[in-house]
Amino acid sequence: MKTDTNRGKYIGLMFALLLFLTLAVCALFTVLIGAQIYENINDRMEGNYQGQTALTYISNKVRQADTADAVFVKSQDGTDILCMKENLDGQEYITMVYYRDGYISELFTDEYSGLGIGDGMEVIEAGGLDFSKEDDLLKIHLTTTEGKEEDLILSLRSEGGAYEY
Amino acid sequence: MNTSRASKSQIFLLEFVFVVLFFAICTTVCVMAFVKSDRLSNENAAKNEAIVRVESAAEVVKACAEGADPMKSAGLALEKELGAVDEGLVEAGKPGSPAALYSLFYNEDFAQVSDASDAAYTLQVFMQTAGDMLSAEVSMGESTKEKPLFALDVKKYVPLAGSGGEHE
Repeated sequence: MKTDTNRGKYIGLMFALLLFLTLAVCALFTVLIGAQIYENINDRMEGNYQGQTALTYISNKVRQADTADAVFVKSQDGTDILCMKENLDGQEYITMVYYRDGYISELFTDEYSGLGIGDGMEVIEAGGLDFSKEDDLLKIHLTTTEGKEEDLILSLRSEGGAYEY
Repeated sequence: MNTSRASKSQIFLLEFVFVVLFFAICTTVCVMAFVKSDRLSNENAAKNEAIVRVESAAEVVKACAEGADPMKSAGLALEKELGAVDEGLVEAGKPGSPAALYSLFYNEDFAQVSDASDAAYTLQVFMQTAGDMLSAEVSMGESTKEKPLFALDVKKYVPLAGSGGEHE
């Protein structure tokens, strides 16, 4: 009789413990799944920010500056530089966008100021940036800090030279 | 005494069952929310990738469609700049209105692949001319789904298209 009572007690206790353990494991797995998904979403947001934001920034710069012969690409010390000329109050200014020391940088200056690519302002972190121009097509090749590569092609609407009547 | 103890155990176990049930419902709701947020994040990332690629293709069509055969010149530019595949002339639905279809294929990581069977995403450029007007629909979507992730319409006036001669 007493043995049966003890056995019943132990079975009850085991059942309660087992149920508690199951509950604890399920809670743990739920938290782990949530944490993993949060990490995935964060990684995608980070990749999106670096890739898309950088390309959108450059394409908006080009669109704003797209007048005849205003947008061109030059190379200096092995660095591709996207140059955009504009005329403000009769003075020629140039905006240069390039990659240097882990950042996409921008330099807005008077054409003959003597400032160089070392004087630019860091805009956004990146792994690399290359430009090339062929006729009316401007090609942008971006590498993010994670090594992902993105390409964007823009067509320059304004052709060089004046229209001849 | 035994009856009282048994009834207390029953009440306790019943309460435990309700606790477990409540926990199961909460966990289900939480996991559903996690999965949906992951799916939405994935879709948005895919859409952002599609936007860049569709924009590039549209820019190539806009810049390179010119001359007596703008569809051919745009198609050659798509093949050269982006590695597009010519799917050949297609039925445009309008008699006497030629059309062309070019495709690019991408895997799950949005890296370009040459084989359509390996493609998770497909970018299509559908061009047709009507008189001096070239119109193109550039769209990108999952290979298995009909609705595209992103699409752009391009229209370009090409004065010599289909005329067979110069305007004076």
